[in-house]
Order: sequence, then C-alpha cells, then structure tokens
Amino acid sequence: MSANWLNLVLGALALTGLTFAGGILLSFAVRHFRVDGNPLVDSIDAILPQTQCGQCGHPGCRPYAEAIAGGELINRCPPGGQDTVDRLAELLGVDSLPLDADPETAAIDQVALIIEEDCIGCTKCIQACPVDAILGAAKLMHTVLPDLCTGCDLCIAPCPVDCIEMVPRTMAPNTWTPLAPEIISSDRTTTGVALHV
Amino acid sequence: MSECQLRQSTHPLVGGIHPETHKTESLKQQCMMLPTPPELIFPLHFSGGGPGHALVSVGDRVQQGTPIIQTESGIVHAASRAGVVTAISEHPLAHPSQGPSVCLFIRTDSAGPSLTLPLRSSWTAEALRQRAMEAGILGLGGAGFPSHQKWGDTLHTLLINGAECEPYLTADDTLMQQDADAVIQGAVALAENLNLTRIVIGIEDNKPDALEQLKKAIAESSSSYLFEVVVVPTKYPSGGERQLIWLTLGLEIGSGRRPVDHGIVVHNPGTLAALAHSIDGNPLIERVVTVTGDAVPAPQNVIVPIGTPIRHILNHAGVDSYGDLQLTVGGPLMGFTVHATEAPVVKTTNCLLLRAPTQQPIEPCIRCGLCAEACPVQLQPQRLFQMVSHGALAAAGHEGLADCIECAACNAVCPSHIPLASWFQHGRYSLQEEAQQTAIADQARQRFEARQARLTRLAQEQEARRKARRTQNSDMLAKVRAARGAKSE
Amino acid sequence: MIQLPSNRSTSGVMAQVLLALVPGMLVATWVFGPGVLLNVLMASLTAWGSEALCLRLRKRPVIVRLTDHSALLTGWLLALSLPPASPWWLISLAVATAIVLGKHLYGGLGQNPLNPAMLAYCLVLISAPVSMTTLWIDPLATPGITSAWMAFLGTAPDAATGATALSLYRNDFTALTAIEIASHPLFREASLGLIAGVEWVALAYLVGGLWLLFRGVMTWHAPVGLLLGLFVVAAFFAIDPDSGTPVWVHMTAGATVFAAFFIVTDPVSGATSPRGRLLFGVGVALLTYLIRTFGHYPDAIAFAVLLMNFAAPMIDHYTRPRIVGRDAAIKGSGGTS
Repeated sequence: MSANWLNLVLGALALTGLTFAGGILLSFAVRHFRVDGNPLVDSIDAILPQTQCGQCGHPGCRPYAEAIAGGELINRCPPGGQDTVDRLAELLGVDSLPLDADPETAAIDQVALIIEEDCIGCTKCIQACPVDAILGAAKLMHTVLPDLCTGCDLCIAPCPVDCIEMVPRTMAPNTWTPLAPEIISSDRTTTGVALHV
Repeated sequence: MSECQLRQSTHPLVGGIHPETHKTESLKQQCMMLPTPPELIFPLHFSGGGPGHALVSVGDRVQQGTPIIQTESGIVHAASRAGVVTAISEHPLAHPSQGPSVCLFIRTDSAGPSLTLPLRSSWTAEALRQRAMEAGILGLGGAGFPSHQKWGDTLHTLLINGAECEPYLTADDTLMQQDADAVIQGAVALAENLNLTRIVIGIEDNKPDALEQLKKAIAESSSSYLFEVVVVPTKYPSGGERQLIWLTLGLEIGSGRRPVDHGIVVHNPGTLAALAHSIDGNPLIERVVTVTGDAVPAPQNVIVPIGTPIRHILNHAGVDSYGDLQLTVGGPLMGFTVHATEAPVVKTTNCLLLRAPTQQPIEPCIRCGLCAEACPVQLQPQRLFQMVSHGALAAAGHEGLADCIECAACNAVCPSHIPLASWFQHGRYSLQEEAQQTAIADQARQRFEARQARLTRLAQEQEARRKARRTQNSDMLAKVRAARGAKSE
Repeated sequence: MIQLPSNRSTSGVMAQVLLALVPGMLVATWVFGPGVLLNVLMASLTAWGSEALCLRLRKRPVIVRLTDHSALLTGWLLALSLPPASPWWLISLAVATAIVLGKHLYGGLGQNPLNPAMLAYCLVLISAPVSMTTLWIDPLATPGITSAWMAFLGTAPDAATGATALSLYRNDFTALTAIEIASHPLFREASLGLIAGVEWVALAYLVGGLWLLFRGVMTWHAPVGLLLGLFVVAAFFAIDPDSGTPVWVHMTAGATVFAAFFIVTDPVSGATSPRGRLLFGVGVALLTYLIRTFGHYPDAIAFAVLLMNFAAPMIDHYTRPRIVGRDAAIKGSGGTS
C-alpha cells in the first residue's frame, strides 16, 4: 500500500516540477521574444490599398487594419476589391467572404477632376483630401494631381459649388495585358469549360 | 585603316537548344527593294517610343521623310514615301494585342523630292542623340527601345549583336552582307562621340558571308579603332543581350541590372546602319524583313518601307491565299501570331513567317526537367510553371521569374507542348502590376501619415498659442485689477 | 509564343519506355515461365479499364488520355515487379490501386507525389504477405503453361515456387559460410556465375535501360545514384564474406537493376534537378540496404522509393542551380538580387 502512495506522491511532485519548469521557460520567452508593436496590423495594412477613403467605417486604412486584427470583418474595403478580401483571408487563415459593396462601382479605378471654370478657390476640397493630392491655395485655382489621387471621393461632398467629379483613370494608350494561356487544351469537361489540372 | 581581331568565343553558353535553323531558304534570292505599296499605315501609339500624336492632319500632303508622328520619348517617325494623309482611325496591328489602335493612313503617289535632315561638319554626343530622335532610330532587333536613351556618358564598350540566333531569321545576316559599310560607320560614329574604348562584334559561325563583308568594311574604314570580332557557336539563344555579353566578353550582367550599368551598349547591326544613314541625312524609313516559311513560295529578304501592310509583302513573295495558315511576326520562338494580314510593318518587324498551324495539343507536365536543361538563365521552368499556373506569383518571383528572358527555349523542348514562355510573360506582367500597385499604395500611405502628422502638429501649435494667449490675458487682467484696486482705494 | 513543331511527345516517351521493358519481359518469361506474360496481360487490361473509369468519372476525354500510355506503363511495371505465380486478383488489385489511388486521386498524369507502382506494391505486400512471399518461381524449375495457368487462376500454386536469393540470405543463410552458400543450386547452377536465371533478367533490364539512356529519354543521374550508391554501401559492409549479403547479390537480385532504370527514373514522383536525381538514387540505395539488412522484408526497393518520394520536394528545393546573374539559387522567400 505504501508503495502506491509513494508513487502517487512522486508523480504529483514530478508534474508540479515540470509545470514550474514550463512556467520559468515561458516567462523567459515572453521577455526575450517580445516584439514591439503589432506586426499583424502591419501585415494587414500592407495589403490594404491605402485609399484612406473611410468607406469601411474607419478613419483611414491603418485604423481598419487595427480593427481587423481585433476581429472586424475583412470584406469592408471596396477599393481593394475581392482580391484584397481574399488576400486578407489567406493572411489571417480564415474563410474568404464576398465583398460588401456593389462590385461594378467598386472595381472602377477613378480619379477626381476639378472643373476649373466653376472653381471658386475655397480650399474645402484641399482640406478634405487625405493624401494631399489637390494643389491650390485660397482664392487661387485648385487642381487634382491624378498620380497622387487614390479615388476615395472624400473631396466631392465638401465642394460648395459641386465642381468636382469622379472620372475613370485613363491608361496610357499603348498598355496591353498578356493573357494567361489555356491550361490543358485537351482537358476540357463536357460542358466546354477548361478545368484546372 | 581599322584593325580587325578575329577570335572564337571562349565562354560557352549554359543551356540553350539547337533547333533546325531553316535559314538557307530565305538567303537564296538577292535582297531587293519592295515596290512602293498603294497605302502606308502608321500606328500612333505602337510605332515604337511610346504613345504618340500625329504631326499632320487628314488631307495634308507629305514628302518622303516628312515627320508625321511625335512620341513621348522624343522619337519622331517619318513618312516612308510621299503621298496624301487620307485618314486617322483605328486599324488592326501587328502586335501581340492585335490592336485595333489609332493609325495614320497615307495614300502614296509618285515620288517627289524627299525631306532630308541637315548635314553637319562635326558631331557631339548630344547632337548624335538629337539626330537619333529626329531620325526615329530605335532598336531594330525586336524590342524597339529608343536608341538615344542608351547613350549615356559612362559607356566604354559597344557590342554589335550580329548573332541572329533564332531559326528562320536572316534579316540581320542580309543587312550585314549588303550594308556592312554602314554598320561599321555607325559603330565608329557612336564610338567616337561617346568616347568608347572597345568595339566588339558577336556573330554566329553560320554566317561566313556576313563575316567576310564585315571584315572588308572594317579594313576599308578610315577610323583607327580595333574591332574585335568574336565568332560564337550556333546555338539558341546566343543572341540574347546578356547571353552574347557572356559569350563575347565573359561578363555576367547581374540580375536587375542592365548592360549600360556596366558601361556596355549592345546594338543590332541594323540600328547602327540606320544611324550611319541618318548622319547622311536620311531618317529611318525602311528595313530588311525576312519573308519565309513553308507556305511562302518564294522565301526571301526584302527591303520594306515602314508602314507597308503585311499582305502586300506576302503577295510579293508569292502568297495569294491564306486559308488556315498561321502568320507569325518575328521568329518561331520569340514572335507572336497575328491574325490580320492588313496590319502594317513597323520598325521592329524583322520577320514574317507563314506556316501551317503549329500548336500541338497541350498535355500535363510530367516534370521531365528538359526545360530546366534548356534554360539559358538556369531557372527551373517546371517549378515556375507550377507556381504561375496556380496563381502563386510571389513564390514564382522568389524563384527568379523576373530573370526570365522569354526566349521560349523551354517551349521548344517540352514534350507536353506547354506554352511555358507565355505563362512566364503573363506572370511577369502580373508581378510588375502588383509591384506598381504596392508602390502606389505605399506612396498614398506616406502622404496620409505625413498629413496626419502635420495636422496634429498644427493643432498642437494652435493649442500652445491659445494657452500662451490665455496666460498673457490673465496676467494683464490681474494687472488691470490690481491697478483699479489701487485707484479705488 | 509559338512553338517549333517538335516530334517529342509524352506518349512517345512512354512508348519508348514500354519498348525498353520488352527484353526484360521476354527473358523473365523464359526464366520464370508463362506466368509473367499472363500477369502482363491482366495488368494491361486492368490498367486500361481503371484508367478509363477514372477518366469518365473525372469528366476527362478518355481516348486522348488512354493513348498516352502512362496507365499501360504503370501496369507493366507492376506486372514485372509482382511474383510471377501471382493469381489474377492480386495483379488486378495492385494495378487498380496504382491507377486509382496512386494516380487519379491526386489529379491524374503529372500530379502524383508517390510512384503509383511502388505504392500498389507496398499495399499488396502488406495486405497479402503470404502471397507475396511464397509465389516466387524457382528459376531452376520453370513451370509450363498448365501450371502457370493454374497459378494465375489462384488454384494450388505448386512446387514450382521457391525462395528468392534475397530471402535465402535473410532467412536460411545466417549460419552458413560463403563457401557453403555457394553450393546452393541457385548459385551453383548460375551460368554467369551470379544467380541462376535472375542474372539474365537483370541483364535484359540493363540493356533496356541503357538503350533509354542512349535515346535521351532519361538522364543518367538517378540510375547511377542507385547502382553506385548500393554498390558502395554494400561493398563497405561486406568486407567479411561470411557475414551479410554480398555486393553482387544486392546488385543482381531483387529489383535493383529494374528499379534503377524504370522506377527511380519516374519523372513525376522523383526529383527534377540533375543533382537532385543523383541524391534521390543514392537515398533509395541507402534505404534499400538498411531495410534489406535490418528490416522485416527481403526486398525493400518499394519502401525505399516511397520514402524518397516524400523527400523529393525538399531535394528539389535544395538542389536548385545558381541563376545566371545572381549569387546563388534563391532559397525560400526573401532572396537577394
């Protein structure tokens, strides 16, 4: 009988000892491997398109990145498109969701254009632009720099004379896209759609 | 009198393939000038040198040599023959995208006097660059890079790319045989004005006639340069820029860097000949084009006015019906299929290849590894194909996709007939696009954060000023109260 | 990019490999009896049948894929690996497993991470151990057509079966010296001085394999890796001739030569880079020696190949050549330029 009790006591001691050892190891690890900041938020922010438009409900892309790291839904960024949602899903290891926006309007790459005949030089749009893409000063002509404009359309509402509109971004006339070739040409299903190998 | 030093290449090319060359057919006939076609067509945005705009309007009469298109890079394209501008409208192109794109149409008529560029008594580097722009000179080897952009101040070596390694192509061979003097003159002009110390010619060993003509031209040249002529073994793709630099100079250009970064400028012999002609006052308005393939009754090289519709050239070579034939512009490995034979020849059109359709049924990849043996850059095409076809572009980028020269040697050896190079072209384009998007996003993020910082700083300054004012006000108020208190007593 | 029309094709490659198996097949029939041909026939029918069924289920075009000969090749490789006196159901089960489990479940041609023939061989070896150990024909007592047919039907496989050289060395020869072993009929009757009958089969496979090398269908790296690797390891441990299996038995017996030219050279499941293939072959050799000497089974090629199949992606990763223009092959993410 006493041998059994001894085994019990020894077992309990061993487990307790292991637990302590584990705890000491962990406390060292927490101190030694500490990472400042939140690298997950940086990774998420790197995927977001930086339009800074606020359509996700947050004042800029970094606040939305922080919200996602805290559990916010990943499909609230229309300028990023479905592609961004999928990449976020892959990064976070969750299932992808359909984009929470009208896909047609979300997909168009737009820039703001000021109709210069109507501009009164009030600087309200300059103050509204989150990336300082509008050039101008009080009582002087305002103009949008298309290379810096992200298409967030935050400048449309503040204009008192409605002289800003969103137009599709023009590509250089000699751009073209090399398309992906067919996969296995003989590997078509009976419905005529090429299946992935 | 220039000296010529002949030697064999001592740096063998890794990888590569030995396809059947199919070159003798097109070299049998003498190369002649093509009779002027009734209409010439010039794409505004795809003639080379970037997007362009027309310098003439519909209804204008133009002479041979009149500038008609000005491009973004400064290159000016000239009318190849005299005539009247009849339209500026969309038309199919001899381009992988097939067009259609805006083109300028000239109905040709009897030749009048041609417009020439002014002669000069002496030249400088800047004057040469200006002349190249005005004469519309760009790389005639196929890529069409504006030549003047390569002529910086830090160059020391000129490498003339006389390899022409792709099967069927004999345009450079023909040019070197017929116009070797101009090639050497152009080389000398460039070397003198850019202070180059070395001129090297790389030529494949299957071009003995061209070699003879070059040696003669070197001997008759009045410069004092030493021309190093390096004969390289016939192998595809020995004519690739980086490959030829390795073969002739033993130098490996680092990934992501260009030959001009190492002080080396590589030029197609046609480009140098065009430079020589432009110094004599003639803008670039013609080029040698090889017309060949099993479906062409009379394969030959022909000097073609730029803007000639392809159909016109094929008719000249004896083709009257097209049926199911496949037209390739360029060689069988680096060329592309064109469906519209009414598309025009541009300055980079070096070959028209008409054959029965060549695409064989595509089968799955069995990882045989033949493509890896053939790759001149020692990439692993079977791995890259796996990644690109499954959308893993970042992984493909890490495996060196950006270093692919799209020579399609892997295509040629694949037993499953997989169009590997097309996949890599698509993958490289997608990677570039992604990189561009990331750069734009980074810029936007930086500007946003800078703006946030500025607004915060302004708010803080304002707050500090308000505090200072309040303190000042309360001090003054205290003083006034104190004075009043003293008064009322 | 347009291709140059080439006369190379996947089905052409497969057809050449099939052709290279024929000498070995004929010699094996001569040594082990008509059972070999019966097995080949059964394997061919099962291979075509299961391949067609899988293609139909996967909604792929049947005729195109059947004529690329890859299923037939898997069938023949199995038929020539399994015991010559195997009943028809053993062959059929093995081939069906190879095609369905080993190939189509992974996505068809070009997608299998494991060698389908070896996968099926292992499955059968573990599931039917008695059949796999007792149905080997004694080369000195080659059966006629009748007894071969009986064996094929699975009824009373008779005294024509015998132990193989490797199983003899494993089970019966542990207490004997080399000289005593040499008096065993299997070695005494050998015309080439090695192992009776089996040596001719190995030679025939060698001829077929060398022909494939000459034709450029395969590279030399994997076969040389296996043969040289096994030779060196076995020679090292066979310094004392009385203990352990001699080198020449390792090289001639079992499936060594067959595997060297027809199994480890499978491009889909093996390594792809030249250095990688060499390492693959050497790895198979080492594992084969270990399992043959210390493991439970007399012949171990199948297990060794499967284990190396798992290692093939890692081998590929670490044997990438230096990209021209860079300092090294890019290793993993974040390569420098």
